[in-house]
Amino acid sequence: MGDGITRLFHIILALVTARNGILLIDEFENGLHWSVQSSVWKIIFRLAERLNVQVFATTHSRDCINGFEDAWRENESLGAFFRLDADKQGQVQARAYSLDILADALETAVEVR
Amino acid sequence: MAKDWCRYEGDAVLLVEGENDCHVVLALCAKYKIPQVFGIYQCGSDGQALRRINALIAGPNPPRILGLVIDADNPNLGGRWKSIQGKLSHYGYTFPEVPSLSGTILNSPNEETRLGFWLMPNNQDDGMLEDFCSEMIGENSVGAVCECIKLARQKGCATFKEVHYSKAVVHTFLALQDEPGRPLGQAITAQTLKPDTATAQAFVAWLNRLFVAA
Repeated sequence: MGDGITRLFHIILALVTARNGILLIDEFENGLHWSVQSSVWKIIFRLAERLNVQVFATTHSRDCINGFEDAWRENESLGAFFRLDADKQGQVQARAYSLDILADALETAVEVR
Repeated sequence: MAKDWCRYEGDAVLLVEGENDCHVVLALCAKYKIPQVFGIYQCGSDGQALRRINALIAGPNPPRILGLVIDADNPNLGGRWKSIQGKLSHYGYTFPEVPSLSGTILNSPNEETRLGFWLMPNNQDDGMLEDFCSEMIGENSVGAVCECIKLARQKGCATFKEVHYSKAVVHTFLALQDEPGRPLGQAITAQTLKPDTATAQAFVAWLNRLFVAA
């Protein structure tokens, strides 16, 4: 098995284990080819709803964000996107994106990371 | 590689729909000696311009100043103003009911970016960049050009849509000048189109208020 399918199994098993709780995924895209990330996100959306799990994922990958946007579009009420930034005082600030803003940023190649 | 004057990304940016808009603004900036304190980004279409302004405000290191020059068409001035407000409704900007005649400038307590809007041609009428430019044609010439177009229509060799009448006027005029067929920006630089109309002066004053006086 390649790294990608191993990663997918890890995520699915972690989701099942986290039933009725939360799951934290660091660097979501690790091991996943860009072309499958949308499908993986769709699986996560589906399973998270079915298993009642709140998933938090971090990424620095535009491919991951593209895949997330694709899945989010199918289930707008289930997702949220935040960009974390340090302000001038070094405090972390969270900027919430609507689906519309995220789609516009990806479409016009404006940075979202 | 040569510098692309119409693809500027920075702290103070004027977003425009297309290349013609970019070169018209560049020519006006040169003519009126506007200080080079901002750059221009041509987005490719009206829709892309709205998407880009929406994305830039929320992005990391958002521009300090963002201007948008967009045609008052698709479908008209009121509809265009509503579509801008709708697109930016999640930010804290308070839009006036109608665009300001001298060009709208908005600040928000929640956002770092100061916004400016100019709806072509004059923030008042439905229209587009070519309406703004066709005002720069001398009055005698406009009459002759309209006769040309009328004749072409009678002869059945004019296929343009009525909504593009001002495009037909300005490009027919430019087709008959020395040298024929100059693009709009170059025609302003060459003074074939005379950029001293009240509307052009109001536009330049808006640019100065938005970018230079900020």
